[in-house]
Amino acid sequence: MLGDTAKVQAVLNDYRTAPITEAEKALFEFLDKVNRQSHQIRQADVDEARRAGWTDEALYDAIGVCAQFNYYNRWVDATGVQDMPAIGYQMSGHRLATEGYARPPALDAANDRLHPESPGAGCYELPSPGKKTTLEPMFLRDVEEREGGGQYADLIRQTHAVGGPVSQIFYLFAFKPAMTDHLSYFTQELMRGPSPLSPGLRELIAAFTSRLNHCRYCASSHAAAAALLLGSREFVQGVLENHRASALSPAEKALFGFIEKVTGPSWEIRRGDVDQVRQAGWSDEALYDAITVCALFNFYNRWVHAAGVHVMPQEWHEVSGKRLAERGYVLR
Amino acid sequence: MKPIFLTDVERQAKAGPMGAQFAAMEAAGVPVPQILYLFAFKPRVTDHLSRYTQELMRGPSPLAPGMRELIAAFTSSRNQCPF
Repeated sequence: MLGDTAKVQAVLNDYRTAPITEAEKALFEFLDKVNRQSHQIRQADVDEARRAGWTDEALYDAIGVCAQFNYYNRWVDATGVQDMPAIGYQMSGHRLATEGYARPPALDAANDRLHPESPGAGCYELPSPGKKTTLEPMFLRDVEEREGGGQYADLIRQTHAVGGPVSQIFYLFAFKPAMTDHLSYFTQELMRGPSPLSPGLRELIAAFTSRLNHCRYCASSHAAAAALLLGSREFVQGVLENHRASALSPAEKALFGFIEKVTGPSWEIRRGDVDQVRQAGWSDEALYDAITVCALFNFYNRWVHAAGVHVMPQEWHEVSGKRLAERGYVLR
Repeated sequence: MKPIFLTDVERQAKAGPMGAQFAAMEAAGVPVPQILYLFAFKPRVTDHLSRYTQELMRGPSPLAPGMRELIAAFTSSRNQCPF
């Protein structure tokens, strides 16, 4: 699509010596960190990319793509999607370049489903205004400062109106609602839709993955949701601290051991790893769902870290957890 | 091609509404990208994923679609080559 295969290959080999602009090199250096150690991203890293000439919107989009392919990489690795002959990749590349990722009729149908009516005011239980605590601004300040649109912009306004705490992840959703509405619905179906894994166990996988990725923000909210859905905070804490010594059943321990591998070096997963966890009693559907949840939180963790969504006081995370447990991921 | 690790997922995808399309591709000697089985297995979930990905990769952005594809390829190549 860039019309230059050699240039693409040079970037993949080593962006530092590739024939690209200095600004592009700075962007890839930033993305390398988003990919591998997003929990160590600081304001200075974002400022450096900005100085190279990138707007906050460009960085928001670049982070989104990098984080999303951390989803896809794990999804493919852990389910065992095999390498294709070269012709297969050429055809896929052509299809993606010409048709994209979803077919237009499906998009229209989705929009009808997504916007049957605008979300009603007061449909979301607002957190009670507590003692005033302010968070550091996000790294992507324009994302936080722009008014945004859609259901999350409404929620931000409602929350401000009662002086309540605004979780900064709302700004990430409100910035590009035409895109993130689909993300909300995907997350909702995955976390609450039909599955052999209970919603509580799915939340626990989300919290566990986030903990492995050092994402305190996500781990705190989803641990709170898991505790509410599973009915025990001690159980959840035990799993997050040391799943091997926790009160998980032997089958669950096998599943969480597998999830650890999916979050870590997923490219090393072999058929034998999957057979082993299957022998613990999990169906392919259960494994598919667990892998998908884990992969999605590898997306969210990087999105949150690199944009500078800060961890909140614990009571705010409790409010988030309660909202997730009771209302899920779509604000309606 | 070898089946994916989650063999039931592949089997059910081939038995579902997308099955005829997969069979036609195979009959024409076109390799079926196995990721399509992952999409076909739970369309209620993955339809939203496709639309999200479409907006992310092709929607309005200061980054050209080609640049976004390059970021995707860069990320993926990094994740298959551990340091």
